This record gives sequence, C-alpha cells and structure tokens, in this order.
Amino acid sequence: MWKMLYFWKEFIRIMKKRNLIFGLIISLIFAVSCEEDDVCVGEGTPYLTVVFRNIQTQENSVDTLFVERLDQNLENPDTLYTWALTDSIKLPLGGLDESVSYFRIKKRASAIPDILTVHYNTKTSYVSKACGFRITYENLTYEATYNNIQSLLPGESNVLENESATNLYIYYNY
Amino acid sequence: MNQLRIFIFIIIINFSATLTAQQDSINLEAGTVLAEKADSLTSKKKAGNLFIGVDVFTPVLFAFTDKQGGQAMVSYRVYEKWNAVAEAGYEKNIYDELGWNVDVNGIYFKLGFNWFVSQDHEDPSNGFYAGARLAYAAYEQTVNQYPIRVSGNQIDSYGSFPSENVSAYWFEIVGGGRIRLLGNLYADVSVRPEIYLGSKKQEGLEPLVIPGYGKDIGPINFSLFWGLTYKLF
Repeated sequence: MWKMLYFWKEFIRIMKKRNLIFGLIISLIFAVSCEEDDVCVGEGTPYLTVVFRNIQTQENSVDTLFVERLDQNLENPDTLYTWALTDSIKLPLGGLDESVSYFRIKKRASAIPDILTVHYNTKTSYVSKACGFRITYENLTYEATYNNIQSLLPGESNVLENESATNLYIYYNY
Repeated sequence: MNQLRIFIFIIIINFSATLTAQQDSINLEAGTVLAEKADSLTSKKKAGNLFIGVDVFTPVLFAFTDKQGGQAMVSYRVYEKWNAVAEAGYEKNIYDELGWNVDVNGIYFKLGFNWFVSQDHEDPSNGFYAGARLAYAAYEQTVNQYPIRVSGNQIDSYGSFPSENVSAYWFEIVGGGRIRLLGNLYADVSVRPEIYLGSKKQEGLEPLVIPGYGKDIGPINFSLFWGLTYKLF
C-alpha cells in the first residue's frame, strides 16, 4: 500500500517535469515551423524608375501608357504596360551579360511610339538565400527617338541600386 | 425512505474517505522519507558511469536524403544527476534548392552536459534528461552554383565559387531520454533545438547547410539523435 501510493506520487511528479520539458520543445517546434524565408521580398534586383512630365508645366503628368520591352533587333515585344493610367513606370533591365535594353513607349493609344535605349554596366552582389545574387547597374545613360518625347532628363545618380530614387524623367508636350 | 438511505450512504463514504485520506498523508510522508534516503544512497554509491554511443538514425537517412555521415558520443556521470557529454561526427551534405547547389563535408564537435530530470532508483542511468551543447563545425564548402536574379526574381544566370574551408558554431538545447534495452546496452533519443550563432563565411555568403546543424538555416533549426549507447562501467 505504501509503495503503491509512493509510486503514484512519484509518477505524477516525474510526469509534471517531463511535460514541462516536452511542452517547451513542442512549442519551440511550432515557433520554428511558422518561419518562412524561401521567398525573396524587396531586396532583389531593382527596376529602373521612370517618371513622365509635361514640358510646359514641369509637373508629373498622368496619362495612358503603353510600354513594351524589345530585343536587340527591336523585335519580339514583351508587353510591360497597356492602358496603364499612371505617371511613373518601372522598367526591368537586362541580365549580367547584357549592357543595353530597348523599350517602346507610347503615351496615348493613337500616338506614334518612341524607342528608349538604356545603356549600363552590370555588377552582382550577394543578398540572401531566397534572393540569391542580385544585379546592380552602373554608368546608366539614355537615348531616345524624339517622335513625341521632347527631352530626357537623367536623375541625380547614374547608379541603380534601389528603386526609391527616380532614374529618368521623360518630357512630353502633353 | 430510499433518498435517506442514499444520503446516509454518501455521508459514510465521505467520512471514510477523509479517514483514509488522513491515513494516506501519514503513509506518504513516511514513504517519501524512505525513498529519499534510498535515492541519496544509490546516487552516492554510483557516481561515475561512462557511456559510449553511436548514432543509428543518420545511416537510415542515407537512403532518403543527401545527408551522409556518422556521429559518436561519450557521456560521463560527473555528479549525481549531472553528466558531461562530448559528441563528434562527420557529415557530407548538399543544398540543392532555390537555384543553389552547395556541397559541404566536414567534422563537428559538440560539448555540453545532460541533467537528469528523473532517474530510476535502481539504475540512475535510466531516465529523462535536459541539457545543452556548444557545437563547432569545420568543413569544406563548394558553391557549385549560385543564382543571379534579375528584376522580378527570375533567375538570369548562375555563378560558382571554388572549395574553401569554412566553419560555423551554434548552441543546442537538448531534451531526451536514455532507456536500458538489455545488459549494458541503452537506447538514447534526444530532440535538439539548435540556435545558430555565427560562422566564418565564404565570399560573405550565409551558410545554407552546415555539417551537424542541418539545412535550411534559419535562426533556429532542429535535429534528432537516435543512438545506441553502451555502459562501460
């Protein structure tokens, strides 16, 4: 009888301690399984930020934009924006082995399109497991056909490392 | 009439229960005193048990994962519930996800202690324990392929780095148990939350797989030890 009672008391004592330890471990497992770091968010290769302005008022002008990316022969258009009512666009530049990108830009559906050419040098840098290495761009220079575009104004920096700054202003008559 | 009978019956039961309960508490006190005495006696008698063990779970994993290697451990009972533990192992592993392909192979050491939460009175080596380890891995890393991504996170091209000797260290919290199977042979199983502390990096890259620590390096990782241990003395 004594032994029996002692056994149960001891059993409960041990189980309490044991539950504490395993409870801790199980809650840790849950805490860890919620973690998700396989998705690259916000730190990858930046886009080129382009803002449209009216040359008369010198203010940003919102209009319907059509933007396509072209290959080196100015063929195989890859649509980036259609019927986009905005005053700023983000253009993806090329990969590590490229040094020039071409874009066909049209403001308003019936207008004659212009070709924007962007020259650059590429550089890689390590970001994270999910993002891998990203590309940053240096020595950015711009050219355009002036069908409807009135002028180009590069931003303060000719280096593209993040998307917070505007890299290029495009001036139109409207 | 019937209700009254039930009422009296309940009172009698309650009363007897209080009586027995009082008796129980006296018995328990006596029992505890006896057991504590027995406990302290056995504990003092058997200070110093040396265990050697091997990991038997990793070889099973060979068939299912890229992980290859082995681990051995030594555990010595220093004082009563405290055991000093040293572990060493070799691991070869591959990280092949998210555009990466990284090979590692190297050795690792873990030093620490186990504290027995509960022990058998007959055999203090039998029981559940909690513990901690400080671990260090010295290994060779080859980045066969790393992804270079353009805007929109599409992989544009791949690069690579040659082999380099790197190292990493981390902290482990251990919870587990050791149960006697037969004779001096024991089964030892433990779960270990691992907390990554730091590393000597190759080209500034965070490690993606570390021998002894595992893959998918976050701030916390998990590993299991399923081992057979043998009591030498």
